[in-house]
Amino acid sequence: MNPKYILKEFSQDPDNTELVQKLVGLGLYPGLQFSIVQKIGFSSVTIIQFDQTLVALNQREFACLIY
Amino acid sequence: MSDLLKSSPLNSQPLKSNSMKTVLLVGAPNSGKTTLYNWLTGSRFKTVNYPGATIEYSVGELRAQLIKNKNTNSDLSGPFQIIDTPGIYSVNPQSEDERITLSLLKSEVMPYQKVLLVIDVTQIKRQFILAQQLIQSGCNVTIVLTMNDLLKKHKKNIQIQPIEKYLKKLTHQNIEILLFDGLFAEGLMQIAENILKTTSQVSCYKAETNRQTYDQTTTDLKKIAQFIDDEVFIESLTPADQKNQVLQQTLKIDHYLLHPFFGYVFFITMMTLFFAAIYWVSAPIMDLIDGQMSSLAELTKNSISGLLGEFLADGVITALAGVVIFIPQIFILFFGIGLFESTGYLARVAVLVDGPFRKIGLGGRSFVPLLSGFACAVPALMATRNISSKKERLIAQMIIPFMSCSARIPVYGLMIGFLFADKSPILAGFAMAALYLTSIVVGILASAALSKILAGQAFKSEFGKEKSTLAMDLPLYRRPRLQNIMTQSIEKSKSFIKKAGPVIAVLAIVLWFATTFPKSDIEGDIKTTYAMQIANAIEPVFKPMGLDGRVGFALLASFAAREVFVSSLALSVQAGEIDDDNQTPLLEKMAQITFADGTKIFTLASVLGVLIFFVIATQCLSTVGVLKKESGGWRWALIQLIGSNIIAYTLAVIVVQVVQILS
Repeated sequence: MNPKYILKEFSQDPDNTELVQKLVGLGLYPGLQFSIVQKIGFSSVTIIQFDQTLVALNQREFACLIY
Repeated sequence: MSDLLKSSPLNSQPLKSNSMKTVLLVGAPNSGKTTLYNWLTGSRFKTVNYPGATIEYSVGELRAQLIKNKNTNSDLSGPFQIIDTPGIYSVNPQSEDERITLSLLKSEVMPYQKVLLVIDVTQIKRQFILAQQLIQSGCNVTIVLTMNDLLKKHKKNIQIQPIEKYLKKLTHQNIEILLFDGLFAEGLMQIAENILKTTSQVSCYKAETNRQTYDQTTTDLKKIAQFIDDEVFIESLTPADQKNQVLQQTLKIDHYLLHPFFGYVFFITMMTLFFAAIYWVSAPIMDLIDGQMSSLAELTKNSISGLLGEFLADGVITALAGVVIFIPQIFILFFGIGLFESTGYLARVAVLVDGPFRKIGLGGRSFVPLLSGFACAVPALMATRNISSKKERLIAQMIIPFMSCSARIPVYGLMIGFLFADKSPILAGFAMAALYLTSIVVGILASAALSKILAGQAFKSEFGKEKSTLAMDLPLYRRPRLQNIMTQSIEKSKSFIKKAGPVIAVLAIVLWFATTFPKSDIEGDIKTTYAMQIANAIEPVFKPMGLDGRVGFALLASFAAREVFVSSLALSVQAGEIDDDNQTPLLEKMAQITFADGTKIFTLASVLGVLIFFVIATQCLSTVGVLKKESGGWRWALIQLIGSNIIAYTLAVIVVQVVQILS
């Protein structure tokens, strides 16, 4: 069983606005409980799970999640 | 050739803006829009199990059967066109394909009357926000909840009434919600009835009424999640581990298929076996077709005397045989890609290759368009719209023509057959895989070079602040529906014949004419024909590649369509051998033909040269046209066309010369 994390907030860096919009579009929001399922592609990609959903994020996208 | 990725409106019925009512199918990627579209219109577009499958909208008319079965008021019903749109997660588009959907919603393409919002019921928590956004912005929306069968597998039931109440409270409108099962079309008649009730009143997305801030969106997402958890799902009293069975299975499989080491081993092994199987599996069927076509040509020549018989046997049948024989290989290519897609493995590969791809200026999202390039570059180029980074998109567009498309299969098959078929079919299969691998290596090198060039000062203003994105859903693994894949592969093989057929027929006439006229006074002497005159004139260009003018003539003809090379070669080499029986199979003929000094034309060196040329050179003019459109102008399209041909020719010459010296 993978440990669960709570998404506290997104990175406030103005350069990441578009990335954050994309993440919100995928259904991520502060307060969401998620777990990290796998790190692959020489650790460049992280797969997270919430509800019945699996989402793959690259390093920059994953760095936008503050948990 | 194919439409591996779902198709452009060019392949669908044209938009009819005045006489018909229009319904837009809108929804998140992978929500089941295309399945519903296929049921509503009777189309057979491919539905695939990875996000971003639809890169253009498709248009189809509501099936007559669905209209006839209903006794609706004649004022309300009427001809309807259904538009399947690229998937969107929200009304803030990030990529080109998403912008297409928003443009349709804003009525910028044409007016429409209704939006059928397709929501995957297992993902309702995060897809429901789109319903809220569209309704609040003034669209006439009916919600269709798909994948209800999967929900049942998860031991959950859905309550429709609370959702209707929730939306009524929020939007003060009665929004109809319908359930749909894509497998058995359960709920299709209710959806058709809903469409038939559509009035002529035009619907439109008004952006100014829906200026959602990021905070507003996240607050809404939270509220929706809470509401869905509390009121919508009724979970049955089964143990927790059974409820998530599909997810747990997916995670278990991913543990191996996405393993940091074995994931890549599995991927490379699968791809090698797949490409080799294109040769192995099809060989016996191809032999059978070859025999039948030869007999048919002989029979035709014996039955119909004179010029007409010659034309039909040596022109039409020989040319068609050159394409028909490769249908088994093309079918296997599509079947294999269909299998990968429908299971959900393709999305995993996109994730797997993201890291390595970054090193050459691409990203994981480039993988699917590149793989599509193995079927046909045209839809593959259109699929790059799914890549949000402009720089990555351009690099992918520039290297897609290097991926060995299905039109190259006839050439590869012939040349490999010449080198290996009698000696070792297993080796022949691996040679086929090696050619595909070579095209990948060429793509990698070109991508790395382009990445360096575009990172330079000259392009800083154009691509300077680009950030690549991957963020994508990984669909749960599904058991492939073999019958569907089979049907789609047959459709695509047919479309190959339909597309290649007319070109080949016209070229067959031209080539036969060129290899028959003007007739010499000496019977059987065809050295005076137009084809031989052209062949003699161009021979100096092809001599360094180890080829004579006749093969060069076939190679020039292949710029009309690559697959024409085989039939052109069949005609041109027979034209040069006046003493031989014209029915000698092409492979035997290739082994026999010689230069004027008696040295053989087709040797290991010259065959390698031909293969290298076909692996690298961009010949297909449709590809160049689409590349021009997708890259925004002639600049990159011409660089690709001219650059690849110069490199292909130079490398072919070098390899031929080196191999000739060594052997």
